[in-house]
Amino acid sequence: MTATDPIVRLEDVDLVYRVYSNRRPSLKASLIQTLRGGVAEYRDLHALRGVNLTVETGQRVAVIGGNGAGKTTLLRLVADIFPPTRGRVEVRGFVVPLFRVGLGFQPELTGVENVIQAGALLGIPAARMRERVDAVFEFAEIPDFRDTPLKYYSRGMASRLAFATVTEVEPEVLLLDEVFGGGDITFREKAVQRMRGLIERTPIVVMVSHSMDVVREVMDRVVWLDHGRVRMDGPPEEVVAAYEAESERSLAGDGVVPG
Amino acid sequence: MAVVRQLAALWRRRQLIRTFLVQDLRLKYRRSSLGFLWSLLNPLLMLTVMATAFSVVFGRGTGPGSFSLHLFACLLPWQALAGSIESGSRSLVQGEALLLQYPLPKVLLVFRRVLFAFVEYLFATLALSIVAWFLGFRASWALLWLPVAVLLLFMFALGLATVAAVAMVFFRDIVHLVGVGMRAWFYMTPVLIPFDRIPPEAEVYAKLNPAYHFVRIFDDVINWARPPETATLLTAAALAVASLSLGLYVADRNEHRVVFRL
Repeated sequence: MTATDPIVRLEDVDLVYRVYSNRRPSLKASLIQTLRGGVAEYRDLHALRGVNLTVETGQRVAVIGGNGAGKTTLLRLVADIFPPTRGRVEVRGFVVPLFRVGLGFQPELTGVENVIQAGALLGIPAARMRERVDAVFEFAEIPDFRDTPLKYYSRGMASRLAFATVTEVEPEVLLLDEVFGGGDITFREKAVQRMRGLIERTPIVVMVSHSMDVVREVMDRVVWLDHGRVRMDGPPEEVVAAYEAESERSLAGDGVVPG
Repeated sequence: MAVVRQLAALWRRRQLIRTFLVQDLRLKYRRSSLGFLWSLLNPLLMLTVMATAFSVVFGRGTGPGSFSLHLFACLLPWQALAGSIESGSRSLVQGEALLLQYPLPKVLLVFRRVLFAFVEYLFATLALSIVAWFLGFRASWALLWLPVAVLLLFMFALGLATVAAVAMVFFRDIVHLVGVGMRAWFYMTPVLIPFDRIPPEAEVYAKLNPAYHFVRIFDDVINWARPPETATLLTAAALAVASLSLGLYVADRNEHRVVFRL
């Protein structure tokens, strides 16, 4: 381990943000509220509490936990999209975030343009990205759709393209949200293989996952988040077993899934 | 400090800005079969309609100081300003997907829209100058002031658009206010009225409108083929710097808050 190796380090990180009751805030509503002498309804959401986590080169970490446990927030924190409220976040290396269907693709742009744009968003010059376009489309198995606007792609094709792009840019820190699927069945097998290759090759992988099979097979460390705290951190077998045991207990009991 | 930080952030992502610009241009000119021509037809038609309609009031003349040239000089910069603010103010709300996927400087998304509006302005001006030639427009040394005028207007527009964009994240209904506000502002700005037709007693009030000074420079340089007055230039420069500083300051203060309210 040297001083330039990719690393993700969170020290005593808290993340609090305000959630307002009105999802689409408006000036009108605020004015009416002020005139009535009221204040905006909100609550402070403590998304992460005192999280300590160090991921070193060579580690593939799965983040598990129930809804609202802070999994996505944690990924966004590492991706430098959310700032920590307290504590310190240190991330070294070329970070590639792959959330949802991915990479901020625009429906009006063609496949090639979207790949170039994704590269630019990640900080890769267009000229260098253009050299890789062939490989991307070949892998995604949609060479005929290079110049077709993305809005005509199926969901599967779009996520294949996103996935192929990410595999082509060689991230050092890969942040994956499992909601980002592999696409259709035929591709999924190939994607899983390629994904495994990518995960093996990528120095650091942090992945939010709901599929315990994937976690057990592919990852070598699991962090269980519970209401924003790290409940457990260790080898997949142990953590997954504990997590599943608790899930069953709550299902059998008051029906509350652990946070 | 905040201003320098935001400018540095934009400079660091200049590659991305270029990619955005290229793709925005491609998209725009792909959407219709007339493509590029269509985008020039719009200002041309607008100009023709207005010049014809208002020539009844302001005379049909051509050449320096004429109403038709005044319109050519002032309408396009106004559209660049209005377009910047209307499209720039929506950029953060509409950029949700990008902002929740990548760590981007927020002001970059506003900058992208404003830059695009001004590139469109340059294209339209170049193309319409051929039409304007028939109206008596001639190249002059005064045109050397044009880049200065464009730069000042750009700074002014970027500042206001950034403030509006951040405000819109917190209050979504500002989108309606911006639309109505821009229309009202248009009629308060001497675009449809030549500067020398403003009643003397109203001059004081007309000058309270910040846009007055910017449009005036364009009118001097393009319509009258003369250098702008120093007072006008200094006022516009001060307004441009103030607007941009305010915009970047607001962006900097809210850099970490915007993402939580998208």
